[in-house]
Amino acid sequence: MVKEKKYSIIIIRLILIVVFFAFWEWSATVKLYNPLFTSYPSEIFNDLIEFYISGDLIKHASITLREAFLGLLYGSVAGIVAGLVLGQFNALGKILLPIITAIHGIPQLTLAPVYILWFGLGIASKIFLAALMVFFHVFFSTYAGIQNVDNKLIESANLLGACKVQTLIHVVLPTSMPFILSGIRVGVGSSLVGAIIGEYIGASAGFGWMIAYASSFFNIARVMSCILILLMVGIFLNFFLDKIEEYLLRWRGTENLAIGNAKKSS
Amino acid sequence: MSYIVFQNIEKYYGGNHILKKTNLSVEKGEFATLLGASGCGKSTLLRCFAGLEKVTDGKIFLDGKEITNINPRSRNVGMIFQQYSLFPNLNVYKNIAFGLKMKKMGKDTIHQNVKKAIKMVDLVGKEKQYPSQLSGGEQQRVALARCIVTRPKVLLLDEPLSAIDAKLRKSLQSRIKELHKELDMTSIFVTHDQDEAMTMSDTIHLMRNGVIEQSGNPFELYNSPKNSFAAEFIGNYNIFSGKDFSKLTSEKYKDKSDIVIRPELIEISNIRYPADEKYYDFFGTIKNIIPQGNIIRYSVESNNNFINIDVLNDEKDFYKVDQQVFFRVNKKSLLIYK
Repeated sequence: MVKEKKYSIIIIRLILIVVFFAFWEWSATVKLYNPLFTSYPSEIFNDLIEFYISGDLIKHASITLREAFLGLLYGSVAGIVAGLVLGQFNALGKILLPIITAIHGIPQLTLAPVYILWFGLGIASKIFLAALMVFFHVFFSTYAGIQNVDNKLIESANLLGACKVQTLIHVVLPTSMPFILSGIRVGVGSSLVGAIIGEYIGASAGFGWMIAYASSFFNIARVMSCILILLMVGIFLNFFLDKIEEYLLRWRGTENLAIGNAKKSS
Repeated sequence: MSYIVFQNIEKYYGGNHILKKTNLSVEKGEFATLLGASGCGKSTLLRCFAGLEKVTDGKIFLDGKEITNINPRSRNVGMIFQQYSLFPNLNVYKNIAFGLKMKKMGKDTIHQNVKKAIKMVDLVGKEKQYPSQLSGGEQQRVALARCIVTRPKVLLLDEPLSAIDAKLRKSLQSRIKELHKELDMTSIFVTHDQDEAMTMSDTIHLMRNGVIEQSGNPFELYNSPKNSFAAEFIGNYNIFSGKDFSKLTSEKYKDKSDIVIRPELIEISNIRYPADEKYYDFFGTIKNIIPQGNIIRYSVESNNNFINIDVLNDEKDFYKVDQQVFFRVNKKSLLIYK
């Protein structure tokens, strides 16, 4: 029953996508509007092939993905560490949290030119921007996760002989994991946005640069190709995160099952 | 010196005075219960012993050594909480093995001990399940195994059965008591449920407002409550003011005294009892009947006083609501507190 429902959802979703692309193609062919502004699927598909054959796709994709991935990695690690430290030391948390919140309030886009000034036109400035955007999401969710850990669990671990570091590793970190992962999930999007924005503002390669370059020549098919690839990357990363979450939170995944079986006797 | 000694324990939470020069001793191998209403300080006293709360003043001794300022992980005491507090990310086996792992024991020793503990709490076959897949009773048994596997000097139980349904509670009560004997442990149990305290304890310490009101074995506490508070808390006693009781019996009692009568010591009949100066005789109307299984509790109104009378449910002599009845109580069985 559940499986059937799952399949019907996938089928309906595929139908919607196919109908959307078909309508897009048809409306451009019969010139319902000027296709110069949006391009159309067959043109985009041809461009994608050309993009790939010329070697540009791999070149630009590898730069953008490298920036985004390293930004995600550095931002996540920094966010988790800062969240853990501030979550563990309450006094420090109280002092620094309002400052971090205030900095988070500054739109990072406005500071992007400054970062380019600091780190140059190369990938360092984009990695920094991406990492910074990821950092805030991961930091705030890690901090919230730690605040949310049941104190009785910490007390139990303590009474069972765990020191502070052992409690942190074996109890606090794993039980905060749902929060941390949700921060990283939002961070995936932010890392791509950070890398692209950085490339828009000042770069000589990458999808952001390519999008800016192609639009200046009204090459909308290329812009759409880049967006489509970014979309695919986003889908893949989310799928990858789903798998990680499924593994790391396998103890929580069964909770739903347990609720479903709430009637079982002891 | 007793195995566990609390000496003049003072505890303040901000301006709230929770424990007031509390003194308490527990002998080795004893099952001691701290009994009292919510907020009386019983859990705080237990948490002070575990080191989870710092005492404001006073000393705590365990096995002849002062432990007042020792951190919880070095005290070698095990504690079970009301909310089970199992590590949600670890399965049953790993939850139980946690304490041994922290003590850096060898894998084989851990395995043997955990297996033994799992057997003791009847959870064989559930080793790989996560806490979220277990029922409340099973989770509490895991918590129990997780504690006893480390062989703590003292087992602390902070209302561990409050969240468990009545039937299962009874079986867990006896399991805890069996394990206490089997492992020759010293246990301190905290509860607000007087029946639970009666069933499980070697000694009950009745607490009120941060002070131990009375200590004794369950029989002592039930048969000889020290004051009307103890009587009311421990045994559903009938408590009358001296003024009211004087009106009922036409004998003079001090207005401010409390007269306390156990409901099962009152005799009830539909026929007037022959005059006997050893007894006080009453007459009243049954207003309510509460079946309690083996006992039937009649609530009888007499001169605007309600009196509870417990009668063994032997399937005869049932009375009905609004029926007029005679009842009497032996003068010797009255407890009078000034």
